[in-house]
Amino acid sequence: MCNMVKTTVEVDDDLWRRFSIIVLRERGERRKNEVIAEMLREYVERRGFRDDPQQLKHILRIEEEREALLKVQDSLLRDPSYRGKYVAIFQGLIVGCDSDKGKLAKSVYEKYGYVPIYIERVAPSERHVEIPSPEVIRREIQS
Amino acid sequence: MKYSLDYDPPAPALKVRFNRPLSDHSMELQVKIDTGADMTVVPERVISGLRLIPAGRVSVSSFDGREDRRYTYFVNIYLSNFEFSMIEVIGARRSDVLLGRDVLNLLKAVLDGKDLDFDLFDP
Repeated sequence: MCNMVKTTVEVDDDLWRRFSIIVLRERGERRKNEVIAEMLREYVERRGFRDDPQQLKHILRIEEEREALLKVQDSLLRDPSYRGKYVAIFQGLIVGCDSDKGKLAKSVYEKYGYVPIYIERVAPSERHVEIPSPEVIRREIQS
Repeated sequence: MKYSLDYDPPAPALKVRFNRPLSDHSMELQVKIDTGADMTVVPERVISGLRLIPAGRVSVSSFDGREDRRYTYFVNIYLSNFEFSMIEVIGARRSDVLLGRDVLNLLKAVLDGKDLDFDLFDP
């Protein structure tokens, strides 16, 4: 049995009324929670966030380390020994810095083990990559 | 090497081994060479199969300009006779790997579309 959480969200009144009517027509009385839970699950799963407790634990750790970096980011940006380089954050502390992210990852994993360590470039904005090639789906590629 | 006819039109593709850092736990997958991709993309099953641990986050834009945020993971890649240590990759819901310019720029790639032939060298 998974833990349940109660939450409150604000939505447009008209949207909520229309949603309620559709759910009432299609599912009957008192089924809005069920539909919202289904939509949430679909939203999360479509983005590849699987129901894996260990992976969720790792992601929450990484987000904590990221928060720690954001707190000191402005001062790191002003410091030429960090600006433009990659830093590794572990348990809220900077544990490594290198211009080569792969070398940095290797050194911190060798030192602390293969555990969640946040590795990010000290830059004013987040890293952005393009994966622009559209693909025609004709059949599944078997690996 | 010959282009793979698994794709239509045929594409330069090969089998590549991926390793979890500091371990010999590995998976072999079909890889498609994608010179347009800034970064290598692996199927989500590689992340779960190798029990990869996230290490970063990037914003990713696709061909239609849609943006998404993805966690990144480090892997070791064994491609033909080459070994690339600690390559940062992202995961996606796909069955093959897209080998991006993060790895391709470490090699000399020759694509002969006319003869459906390609080669990867380390000059």
